[in-house]
Parts: sequence; structure tokens; C-alpha cells
Amino acid sequence: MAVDKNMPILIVDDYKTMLRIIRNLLNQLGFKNIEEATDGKAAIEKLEQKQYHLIISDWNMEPMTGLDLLKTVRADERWSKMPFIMITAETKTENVIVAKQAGVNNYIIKPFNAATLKSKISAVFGAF
Amino acid sequence: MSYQDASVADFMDKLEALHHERGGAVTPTEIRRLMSSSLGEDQQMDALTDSIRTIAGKVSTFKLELMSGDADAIADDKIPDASKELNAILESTESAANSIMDAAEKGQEEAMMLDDDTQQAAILEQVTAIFEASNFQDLTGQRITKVVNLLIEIDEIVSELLNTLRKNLDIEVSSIPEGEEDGDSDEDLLNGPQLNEDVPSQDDIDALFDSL
Repeated sequence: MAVDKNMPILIVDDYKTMLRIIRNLLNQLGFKNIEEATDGKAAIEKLEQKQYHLIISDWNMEPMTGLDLLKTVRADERWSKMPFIMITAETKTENVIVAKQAGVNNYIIKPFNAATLKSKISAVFGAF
Repeated sequence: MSYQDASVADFMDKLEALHHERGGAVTPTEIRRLMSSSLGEDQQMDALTDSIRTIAGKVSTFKLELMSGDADAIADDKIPDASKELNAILESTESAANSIMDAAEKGQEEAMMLDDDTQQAAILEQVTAIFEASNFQDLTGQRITKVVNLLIEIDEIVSELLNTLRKNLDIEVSSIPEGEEDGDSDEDLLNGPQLNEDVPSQDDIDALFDSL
């Protein structure tokens, strides 16, 4: 799968500062078509309205966590194949296992840098 | 020190060590076993009397502290004040991070207008480093939130403990906040950031992820 720098990406985090960081780092990597949601529920509402090519989500959000969002996305046939990268401070083994079992495509731990973000997107879509 | 005093001291040391090891939960059977191993029958009675006298003294002191209102100050003021201080730190770091990013974004815009590609790339590299470093705010926020939640739990436990003790001691009781229900299994996975010495690297996580 080749990387389309114009693909619509949905980033989800309840820290607006973090959304800003992810958006800026994605911009630096050349991605410009980025939309934001501040929790899982808001992300679902966005997904209902538009077909995204990638979701990048935080785990630790309320009331709907990133893991809940991932499970909801994977359970819906419209989005079940949509690439989903989790960016989180949850670094325990059980978290990685649960996320992988729930169908996450890649897992980035905070703090992260542009190179890590690039390598994880490349792992899903191919080098760019 | 007489033989008797030494035996009593030995018993008290062992009792204290066991008390510490069990986190305060020492059973009567264990106390009896310790006494048998350390003391004669008369000494056992003396040691038991001393222990009961010590406990009675501590209960009496604690009762006075409960009535004096010092304990209320911890539950009503000190713990909530500590939470407020931490929330203030959270707000100020968030504000600082946003100011830093405002400046970085402006720098990025200015860099994009430069004709010199080398100069532009050099500035954008530094701007990226600023964005990357701004991760600190999110992690600081999560860590502080974790501590604030812990303080709220401690506050509830202290209030509940005071309530229970006062009921037993027939002292007037103030209202106590209700405890929260246990979370479900997914909520148990939300631990937030770990301390640096415990944190696996991205490479560790990648290795684990790829092995699954």
C-alpha cells in the first residue's frame, strides 16, 4: 500500500495540546488532510460522516477510551479494515496485548518523535 | 539489662518485625507462638500486659487527636488543597506548552516563506524538535491527574476511617463522601505513564507487538 499524503487522517486525543502536537508532526511529514476529535464518541460521529484512511488515537480518554473506539471501529464492517494506530503512555505488556488482540495496526508510546510516527505510518502503508 | 528484660525486648522486637512484615495484620495465634518462643509463662503475662498497656495508650492518644480536629484538617483541607495545587500546575504547564507551540507554529510559517531551502530545512528541523519536546505537557498532565485521583481516593478513605472510628468512639460524625464502584477490566488497563525507570522503550514495545 503506497502512502497518499492527501489521505484523510483522523486524530483523537482529549488533550488539545496533544492534538496540536500530532497535527504539527503530521504536517512536518507532509500530511495536510487532518481532522481532530477530542474523545472516542466524537471520533465515531466524525467516522459516520466521512471515510478516513487512518485513525491515530490516544488510549487514555473519557468517557470513551481509545480502546473502546478501536473495538467499536473493528466491530463495524464499514471501518473494520481501517488502519488504526494507538499513541499512548500505556506501556504495560497487557495493554499492548489487549490492543493487538483488538486489532490495532501499530502502537506508539509517548513521548514520541516525528521519526517514530513516520516509521509506524510506513509500517502500515509502506515507506514514504 | 536483666534476662527477663532482654527476653521481653526480644519478644517486642519480633512482634514489631512481624507486625511490619504483615502490614499490621498479626493474628492472636502468631502472638502466642512468638511469646512461647521468647518468654517464660510469667514473662508472657508481663509482656502481654505491657503490649495491651501500649495499645491502650495509643488508642487514647488517637481518640484525643480525633476529637481535636487535626484529623479533620487533613481530610477537609490539606488533601483537597494539595489537589488544587496540582491542578494549578497542570493548567500552567498546559498554558506554557500552548505558548511554546504558538511561537513554533509562527516560526514554521515564517520558515515556509524563505527562499533558501537549506535555511528553511534547518529551521523546520528545530521547529519539529519543539513540537516533539512539547509531548512533556501531555505526560505531565497524565501523571498529575493520576496523583490527584490518588489524593481523592486517600481523602475518601481517611474520611471513611474517621467516620467509622468516631461511630465506635461515640463522637459526632460529619458527612462522608461515598466511595466509587470498582471499574471494569478495560478501565483497569488505564494506568497512565510509568516512571522513567519502569518505562519500556519504543523498541521494547515494537518487539512485544511483533511477537504477538
